This record gives sequence, structure tokens and C-alpha cells, in this order.
Amino acid sequence: MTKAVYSLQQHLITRTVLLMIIVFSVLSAGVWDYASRAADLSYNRLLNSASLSIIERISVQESQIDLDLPYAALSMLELAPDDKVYYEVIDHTGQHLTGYRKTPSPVDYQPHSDPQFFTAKYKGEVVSWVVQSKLLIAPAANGWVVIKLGQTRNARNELSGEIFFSSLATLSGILLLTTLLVWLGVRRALQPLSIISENLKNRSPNDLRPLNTPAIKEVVPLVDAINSYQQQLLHNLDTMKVFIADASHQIRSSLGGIQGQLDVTLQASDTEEIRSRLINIRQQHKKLTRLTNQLLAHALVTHRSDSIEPRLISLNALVEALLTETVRDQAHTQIDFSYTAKTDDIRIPGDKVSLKEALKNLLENAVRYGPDINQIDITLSPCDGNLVEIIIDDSGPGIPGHQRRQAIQRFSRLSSDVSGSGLGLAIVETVIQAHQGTLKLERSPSGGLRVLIRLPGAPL
Amino acid sequence: MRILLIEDNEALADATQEYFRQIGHPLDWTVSVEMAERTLSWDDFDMLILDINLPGRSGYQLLQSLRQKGRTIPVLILTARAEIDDRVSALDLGADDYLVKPVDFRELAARCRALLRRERGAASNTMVCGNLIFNLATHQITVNNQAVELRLRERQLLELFLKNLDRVLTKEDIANKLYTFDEANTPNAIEQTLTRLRKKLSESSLHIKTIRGLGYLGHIDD
Amino acid sequence: MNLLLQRLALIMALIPHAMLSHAEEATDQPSSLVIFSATDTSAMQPIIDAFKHISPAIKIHYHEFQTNELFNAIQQLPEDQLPDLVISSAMDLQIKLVNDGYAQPFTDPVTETLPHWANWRNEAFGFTYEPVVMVYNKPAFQGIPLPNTHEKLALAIRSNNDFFMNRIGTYDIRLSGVGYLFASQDEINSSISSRLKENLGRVVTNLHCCSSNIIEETASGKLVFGYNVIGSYAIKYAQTDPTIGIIFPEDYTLVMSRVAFITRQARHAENARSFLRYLLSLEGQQVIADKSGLIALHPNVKGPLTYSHLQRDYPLRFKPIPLGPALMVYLDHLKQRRFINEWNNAILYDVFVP
Repeated sequence: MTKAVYSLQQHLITRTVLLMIIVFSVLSAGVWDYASRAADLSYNRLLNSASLSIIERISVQESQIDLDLPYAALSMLELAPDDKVYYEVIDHTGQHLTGYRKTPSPVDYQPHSDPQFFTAKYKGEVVSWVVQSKLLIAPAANGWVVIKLGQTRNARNELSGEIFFSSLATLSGILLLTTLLVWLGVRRALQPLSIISENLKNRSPNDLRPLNTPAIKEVVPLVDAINSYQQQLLHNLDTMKVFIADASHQIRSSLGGIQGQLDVTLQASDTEEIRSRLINIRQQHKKLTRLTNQLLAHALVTHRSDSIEPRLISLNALVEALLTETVRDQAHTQIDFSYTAKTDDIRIPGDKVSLKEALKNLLENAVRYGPDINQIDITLSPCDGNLVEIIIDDSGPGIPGHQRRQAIQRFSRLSSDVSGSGLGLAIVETVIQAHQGTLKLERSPSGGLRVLIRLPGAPL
Repeated sequence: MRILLIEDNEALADATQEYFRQIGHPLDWTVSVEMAERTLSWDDFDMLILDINLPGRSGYQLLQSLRQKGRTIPVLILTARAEIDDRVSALDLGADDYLVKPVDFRELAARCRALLRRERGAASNTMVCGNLIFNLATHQITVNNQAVELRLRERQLLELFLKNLDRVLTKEDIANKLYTFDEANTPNAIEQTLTRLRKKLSESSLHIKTIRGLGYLGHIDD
Repeated sequence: MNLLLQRLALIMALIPHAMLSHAEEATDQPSSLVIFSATDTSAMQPIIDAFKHISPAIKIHYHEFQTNELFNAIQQLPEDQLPDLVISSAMDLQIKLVNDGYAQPFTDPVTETLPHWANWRNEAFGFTYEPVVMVYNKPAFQGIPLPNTHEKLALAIRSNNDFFMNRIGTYDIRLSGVGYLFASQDEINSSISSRLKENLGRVVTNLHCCSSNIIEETASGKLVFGYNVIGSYAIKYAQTDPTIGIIFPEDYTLVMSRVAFITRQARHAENARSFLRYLLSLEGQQVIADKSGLIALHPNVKGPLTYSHLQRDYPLRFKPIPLGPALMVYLDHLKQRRFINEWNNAILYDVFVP
């Protein structure tokens, strides 16, 4: 089974939740700031009204500054019912006039008729203050009278908290809803996948019908791909069936032939006849051996083409070794070999074993199907588009143009030569395909067969 | 000239023994690596025919331990494994040659002869190559017991091929071995010498094949 | 004013020494509870006794003060000599102390029955409901319509100068913190308070230190009318002396509440909380109603001296004085000077200029 290493759904949802958390944090900070400012603004207005009402009641009487503290000033501050109130009035000489003593001032306070708000600790508590001044122009008292009015921050904190938390509640609701919608959306979007996998899971192995395509545009290509893959598998399966049928036909026929010959031989009494039968059996057996070897080789290259990681191999060395082996085995014949390498060091990525098997088959074919006096030429050359060309020419009869396609098919033998397995070119084709190369059969300059292989070269 | 066959398939071993007896090279047979090691410890053999798939320890393990002990005895590997890689690794482990089962006994015998020849040629003065006999000491060469007269260059060339059977010799290899630096060593000269040699030895078991573009290969066909 | 300050200064000079021994005694005993109170001991004693009954382990050290003395004592005592609980009828002074940071919060389910005006910051708690009333000598008012609003009183004085001359009494606000509070609340709540003051001055109003004096003199016939006296005392007095009549002014009847708070510096805070919890509880409030002669605030308490009883018998405009920082306005010394000056000018004018 495939490892469930990566869940798209989980990924999307995690991302969304993370994003939501970030958005939530940013908005929370914003809302907090807004809530504090809103609360401050409201209560600062109150504070300012109170301080204004106080400042109006400052008067100069008989060379003395007097304040008739208005009841309304402090009673209006009771709108913040749980907050303490502090005030101080400082006269034009800077002396304490009335109220609390030693109340804080903003840094570098310059008396001004506009109110100035600040926050400072007083009597161990954080207090919001307004400071405001009144310019007295009188012979007895000439200068700024400063009034400072402070209120603890319970109501402000409560208000800002209320604003903050109610906004936060709304915000959380919206974000949760968004997350929920995203979750539903993701699920909905990924649902076709589970439909398809359910569909595939519940399917019996014998059900070869294509998958139903759900009416979702985005999913159609996937289903089409699955169906086309299925078709390919079915095709391969068919091919495999035919192959097995062909192979068993071939093997059984050979075995049958051998068995028949053996039976007949057992009946024979004449030594000459026995001997000629045995030669026959030996011939049949040789054919079966070759067939078996080729079948195994075919299975091997097929398997390797699926499983072996390509490595960089030297084509020159490979071909030279193969040629040496072939020449040794054919030393007693009249076959001439030639070898032309346009470049000394041609390297391609591939599987050495498979390639050797393929080229060996081609050389064997050239030997087998060629005349006794044969000329086999191997040419290696790099060509355009980072390709490498391998040409194997023989001076045999060649294959007529219309039969070349058929020649590559498995178990197709164009001549009735007994020793051919009909698998040689199929093996070659499998290997070449695995190397993303091309295989072409042509006419050689001497009128024989030319096998032209093009393989991708080493990456530049 | 003693050959030890290590093979667990009795039918194959029996047939092999019979074939080798018929061609005049009787061989000894054991069925496992353990037995082979025992036999090898008290007897001398000229070469081994070694199956890979054996009960108990594999043929590779025997080969490996022989080579680790520094024994250069020629070893021919028989393998039935599907993996063609066996051939590669067999040679890598120090086998001298390999054959894939089922083997053609004629082929097996020829490969054995080639290995023994290579081994013997290095050891003695007489090289027997099928019907061709070359006495390195007396420079006498016979084909089918008929003396063949060879010129110096031809004889040198013959010796070079006989000592490098089944290997490709390039023209440069030959030129370097046969001619001193100042002598005329045109490829043509080698080609002419070779042509004469081939003509004089046309009845012999030695085939010298030309691979155009690659070089020459000598092979004894017996 | 100066007289008042001098008196206070004298008392303050004595208090630290007097308190020291008590404080040490209290510190030694974790089961102690030190209460400074500006309420008659006789009124508080039944409550203390009842509390002792349910919490016998707690030793209560009860010290009685005048309201201003108490205020000054709290402000001037070193922290380690401050009491655990402060009780006073001077609501404004109590609020000032709380505002100055002398109190600590007391959050308890028992405070939930309190009306909003009787709880400030969960630190200051009103625990009585005492209307500010007018009293009159019933025989003297035979056949004379009773002035049952502030305005009618002003008119009555004006139209019957001779009847009231020298026979009407009220607080001397220079001496009594409670009197000052009532007078300032009159000014806040009534547009005719200065007219009333002028009329009171015109008939040479007698000035007194305490409600009980006014009530007693009204009962004795020396006075015929008492203005702004503490209702609880009057009701209690009237229960035994039928000559005293009580008027709950119909335009507005101020309601005073005695205020208690636990000090921030309390060394027996847990005991103080127990006592305060008891004071505000239904049981404690019932004791207040039954035995202290004060009027209980708790709406479920039964009896004549209760909030519910007053509400039933006098469906009038009770106007409780709310606990809050606005009470501090008349404590501003400029405001105080101005207010007392005005009061002097109104009430005492005729004394000096006959």
C-alpha cells in the first residue's frame, strides 16, 4: 500500500487554521488598540467636561484665588461608578491651592488652556489624568492656574474589555465559521477523490469496465487518466495472455516433438536409425534450449527495465567486449566483422546487462540469418540531439520493407529457420524502449539488414 | 592433466564425465564445495569446472577462498542462474571463464582446452594447439605433424597470437611487440606478414580473424 | 471652623498614645478585631454581642470616636496602628478615606443584596437606612398645619416668625460632620435650601451637636421643631415619648447610611470580613432592626425599624445619599470654607445683628 505521507486535506486545513490564527492575532491586537482608544476617548471626554466645569469656577476674590468646586464635576465622574477621583488645583505661583497634594504632571508640562491627557500612577494605582490651565489676568493674581483631574481606570478597562471581548467574540465566530467553511470546502473539493477510490476499492478484479466519470470538470482528467491506464494494463494483459499462449505453444510443440522422437527412437532397433533420430532429438532440444534462454532473457530485460536505475556506461567498451566474444565464437566461420567508433568514449545512461543482451541478440541474428560468407559491420556514432547511434549491418538477405514491422513482434519468424526463437528482436525492442531509444530496421549498403538504434546520450 | 568437476546434478555430472572420458580427458567429480576442498587438499588438479548453485557453500565461496589463498588454478564456472550478472561477478571473483547451462559439451571441452593451453604454454616450451604444435625452444612448428617453415616475423607473430588466444590484438599491440622502434612498421607490413602466416597455416586449427576497426583475434578451433 | 480644628488637633495629639496599647494588644492576638467607630456604642453593642455569640473566638476591640476625630485618626495614625474595620455615619469622610486608598475590597455574596447606592467599589458599604427627618413637639403643633415639605417649612417660619422664634433647632454644621453632610445634601437636592437657611436664621435657630439633643429638647418643649435629625433616633424616641412627632418631608427625604470599610492595612482582615459579612447579612440586619435602634437596610428584615417598614408606612420620596466620589465635593477645603461662610451668614446673621 502507498504510505499516507502527505494529506492534502490536512495540509490545507492546517494552513487555513494557521492563517486564521495569524489573522486573529493581528485583528485582536488591532481591536485591543481600538478598544483602549475608544474607552479612553469616552472617558477622557467625561474627564475633560469635569475639568472644564471646575476651571469655570475659578475666580479671584479679594486678591485670593477661589474655587467653588461644582458638585456636578465629581458627580458626572460617577458615570464611572467604581473609580476613584483625584484633583488638585495649583495657583499661579505654583502653590497647591486645594484638592489632593503632589499629583503627577506630564513631563515638561507647559500651562495651556487646551486639555492634556496622560496616565500616571498615583497612590499606588494607575490613574488617567487631564491637566488644564486657566490664565488669570488680575492685578492680584496674574498667571496660569493649573487644574489636574484624575480618575482610576476601572471603567475604562471595563469598557475596553467589553468592546474587546465582544468584538473578539464576533471575530472568533467569523473566523470559526470561515475555518468551518474552508474545511467543508476542502472536503467537498477532495470528495471526488474518495468517490473514485471507493469506486476502485469496491470493484471486483474482473470488472474491466471503465470508471464512471463524475460530472466534475476538474476530476474528469484524473478519471480519464485512470481509465487510459486501465486500458493500457488491459492491453498489456492481453499481450501477456497472447505471449503465454504463444510461448506455451512453442514450448509444448518442441517438447512434443522431442517426446515423439524419443518414443520412436525407443522402438527402433537399427543403430543407424537410432543415431539419426538422436541427431534429430538433439536438434529439437537445441531449439528448445534456445527458446528457454530467450524467454528467460526476455523476462529478465523486462524485469530489469522496470527496476534497474540507469548508470553511465561506456558503449565502446561494451560493444568491443561483445564483439570479441562473438568473433571468438565465430572464429571457425567465414564471417567478417568490422567495427567503427566515430568517438572513442561514447557514454550513455543505461543498464549494461540489458544492453549487452540486446546487442548480443542482434549480432546473433546477423550471424544466424546471414549467409555463410557474411560481412557484419558495427558502427557507433554520436548524432544530433544528444543521441547515440548504433548501426549493425549485415550482408544477408535482409528483411523486405513490408515485413520489418512484423519482425519485431514476438514469436514472429519470417523464415522457417528452425533455430530462431522469434524473441530476439522483441528482447531488443524491450531494452531499447526501456532506454527511451528507437529501433529501426532498414536496408544495409550491401543489401542486407541494417538495424539502427538511437539511444539518448549521457546528460550534458 | 587433471580436471575436477564440482557439480551436484548427477545426470549432468555423469554425462560430463562420460563425454570427457570419450575425448580422452577423464575428470574427477565431487558434489559439494566441502568435498572439493578435501579433494583439493591432497590432490593436484590442473583446472576446476565449478557449478555455482551447490548444496551448502556456493561455488563462489570456493572460488573466493582459492583466490585468497593465492591459488591460480584455472576455474571455469558453470551457472544456471537467470541473472546474467553471474557472468560478470564470476569473472570479477577470479574465474577464468564461464558457461551458462545447458552447455554444449564440445564447447565446454574447447573452453577447457583453451584454459589448459594458456596454463601449460606459460609453463612449458611446447604449445599444443589442436593440430598445431609450436616448440618455443627449437622454433619448430608442425601442423598435422608436418613441419611448417616460418620466417622470423611470421613465427614471432604466431607466438604472439598463441600467447594471446581469444583476445583482441590491435595493430599497435602487434607493432609494439614485433618491431623495434626504428624498423619500418607500417600497418601494411603487419597485414602482409599476417596474410603469409594465414596461408602457411591454412590447414591448422588456428584461426586468425580480422576485426576491421578493432584488431585481430586468434582462436584455436579443436 | 478654627474651633473645630483646634479641638481635633488636641484629640489627635492624645490618640496615638491611647491607641498604641490597644494596637499592641491586638497584634498579639490573631483572633482580635479592632473596630474604630463613629456610631454610638449603645447602638453597636447589640450587634457586637450577637456577633460574639456566633464567633466567640474573635475578641473585638471597639473604639468610639466622633466622626471628624475618626477621620483624622485614620489619616494620621501609623499604618501598623490602623484598625481593621472603620464604621462611621459620616458618609463623605468615609468616602474620602476610601478614595485615599485606606480600604480594601470585600467581595462576598452578601453584598449582592445591597442597593447600588450603598456599595462603592466593593470597598465602602452602607449598612443602615436612616431617613433624615424633621421632628416636632406634638402639643405645640396642636391645630397648626405641619410643614411636611422643605418649602412649607420655609413658608411656615416666615409666616409664623414668633411661633418659631428661638424654638427651632438643627445641627451646628461646624461641629457635626453628619450635620454638615445633611446641609450640603440639602443644597445639592433642593433649590430652596438657601431660602430655608435664611428663614432658619431669622428665627434664631438653636444649633446642636447631635440629633439626640434636638429630639430631647423638642420633646421637653424647649424647642417646638427640629430640622434634619437622624430618623432612627427620632423613631426610637417616639416609641417611648408620644410628644415627639416625626415628619418625613414629602418633597424629598434624605436617607443616610452608616458606612463600614475594611482597612487596606487590616491585620485581622479575615475577622473584619467575618464581622462585615455578619453586619450585612440578614441575621445581622435583623439584630440592627431589633436591638440597635438603627434602621436596617436589608429588604427582607422584619420590624418597624426597617427599610421595608418605612417604605410601606411612608411611601414618600426617600432619597438615599449615594456613596461615591461626589461626596468629596463638600470636603474640598475651599468649598467647605465657602459653604460654612454662607451657612454662617444665613443662620447666624440675626444672632449678631438683631
